[in-house]
Amino acid sequence: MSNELAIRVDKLSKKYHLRYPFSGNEKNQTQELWALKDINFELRRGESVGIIGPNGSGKSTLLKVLSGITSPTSGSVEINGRVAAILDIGSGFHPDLSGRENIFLSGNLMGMYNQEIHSAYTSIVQFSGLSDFIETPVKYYSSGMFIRLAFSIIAFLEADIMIFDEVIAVGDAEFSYQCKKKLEELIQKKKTVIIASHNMNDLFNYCGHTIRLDKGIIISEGDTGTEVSHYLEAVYDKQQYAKNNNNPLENKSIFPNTQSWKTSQSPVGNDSVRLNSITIFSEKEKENAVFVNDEDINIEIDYDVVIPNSGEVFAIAIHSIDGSPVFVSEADFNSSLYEGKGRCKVTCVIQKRLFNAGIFCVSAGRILKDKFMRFPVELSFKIKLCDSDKNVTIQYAFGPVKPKLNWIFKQFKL
Amino acid sequence: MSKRETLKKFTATPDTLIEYCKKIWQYKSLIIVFFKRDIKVKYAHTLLGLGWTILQPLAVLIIYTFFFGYLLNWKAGDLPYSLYVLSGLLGWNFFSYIVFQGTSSIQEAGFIIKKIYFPKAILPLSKVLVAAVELIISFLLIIPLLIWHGESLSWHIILLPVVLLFNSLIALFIVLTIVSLAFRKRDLFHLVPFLINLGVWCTPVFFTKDILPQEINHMWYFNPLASIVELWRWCLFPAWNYDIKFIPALIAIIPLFISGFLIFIRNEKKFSDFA
Repeated sequence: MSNELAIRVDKLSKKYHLRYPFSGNEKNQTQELWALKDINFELRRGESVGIIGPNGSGKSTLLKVLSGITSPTSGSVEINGRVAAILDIGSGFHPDLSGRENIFLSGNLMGMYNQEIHSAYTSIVQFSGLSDFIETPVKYYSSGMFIRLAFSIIAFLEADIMIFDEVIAVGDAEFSYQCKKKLEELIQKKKTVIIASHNMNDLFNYCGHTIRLDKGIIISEGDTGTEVSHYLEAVYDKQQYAKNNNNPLENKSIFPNTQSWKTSQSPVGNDSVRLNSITIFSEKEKENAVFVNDEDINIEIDYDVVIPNSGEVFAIAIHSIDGSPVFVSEADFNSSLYEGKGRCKVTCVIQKRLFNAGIFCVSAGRILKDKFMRFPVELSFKIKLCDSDKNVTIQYAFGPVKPKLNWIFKQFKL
Repeated sequence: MSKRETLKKFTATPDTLIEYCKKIWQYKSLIIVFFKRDIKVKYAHTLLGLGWTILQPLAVLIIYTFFFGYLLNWKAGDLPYSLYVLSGLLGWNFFSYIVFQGTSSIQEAGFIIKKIYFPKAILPLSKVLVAAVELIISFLLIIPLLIWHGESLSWHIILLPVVLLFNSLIALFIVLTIVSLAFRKRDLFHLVPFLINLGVWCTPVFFTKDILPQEINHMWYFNPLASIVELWRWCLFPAWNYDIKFIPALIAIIPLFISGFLIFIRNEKKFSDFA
């Protein structure tokens, strides 16, 4: 059963024609665009796969071909099993029909049989939590209610292969928790699940395997953790590349480790303190902000005190590359950062063995009473795992930190 | 777990006629669902509801009977003019409703076509059912007219389903052809109202076929719609004779429909890229 082939994609390509109907130039009126080029992969029953890639990389086109909505230009897709493709929710709804009527309309559109909808009807209504409004036309629904109803139908689809494009958990916190539970249940039932998402956590939670697409081509595929961290790094590299005026820095790292305002026109800081520069370095690495996780990382702030004793302290906050906060740390209130006028330096030492592999963004600021006021710091650094850690392939998947903790063993002898 | 579509293959080659018909069969319940949706939506938030269906043909019937039958004193052989117009309108309205609604149905469903797969022919097919409901309700108008004029129905009426089938097929031929030719460049859609308005004057709906001069009278026999409308009358009224010269045009509907359907199947998969 589990070895049965669910999907085979063979040399799949899809071409679109871009049209410029009123451009005037006869010859350039259409331009070819290969949304997918020579895609090959296979999926077996019960496997779930994630698809990542930037916008326009062909994710949605791939899912559309897999669900039969659009036909390939060449190559083929073989599907073994019933498919439910959720590329959008609520698209089959009619605003003038009631919730109940839309359940039947939408269910039928998704390929459910009437008797299946009948038997799932009470569960759908219960799941949606909309039993009081089920006879109301959906045009009077709030957008949250609309989404709830739409997702509830999807949750009870009977299919062997489920395809999701971005729509995994919707609605308020409670409902999105419900959705996630339902999806986990589906995966446990050995359904084949394909998810295209920009939410990396969803991919970790549901897909063991991930395909990375760019410009219609599979760049690489493999373990979700590895693929996601490669993807995120590629995104970051691209940003840095653009920042450096598209100068390929060749072998040089694209992680500048210092930011300086000494020559800047407008002073950075506030009335009481002026920032000169901020630098990230370690014992071994003083040029590139690329560190191994077995060394301490120093963040050094160089500044001038203008008005002493303002009651402020420095703080740094670390974010992971997707923007979620990792931690914040503030300087000791008792330390004499502001006591005398003149140039000072403060260094924050982040001890080794704290970070997991990945890219982290630094923000720095000052804390006055309860407020955190940010400086315009745009630094980031990359952490690689040291050799002794490398045999463990758990990387990004398990969060931004991987601290060295104490593990205490006890053995009981019989 | 159901056995619906357990093994599928998507390639660039279009489906064959049989493959496509199988798909429609798998999705047959969707025809009913769309049909119910259209009926409900059409009369949602109206006071008269389905009553509108009878009012529209009634108004047309009164206007034409008054102007042509009474003021201009047009005749229709042995048949009272009002019955002649009504029988013509039944077939013609059924046809024009399917053509209007069918061609727009695929455009209107653009947002569904982009996100969900189903055989697109389902949409015009469901419109045939909606048209049939309208037809049945306007058919009721015939009863008071028959009583009023002291006429009776012909036993040929048992063949009415066959007439309806041909009536639907010719309408679907137009819909499927226009939709397949116009999904990239929508010009043809703008022609539909024009074609329908022109068509009613090329078909013996309001006037009898002997209105044309003798020399060009055979033009009627090239119009499949004329063959249908005349067949309607033969089905309903014992006094009406069917001109057998119409039969080739009637038979031609079958190959026309099949060719339209094949063109549709060839293009159907591209609709979602242009919706």
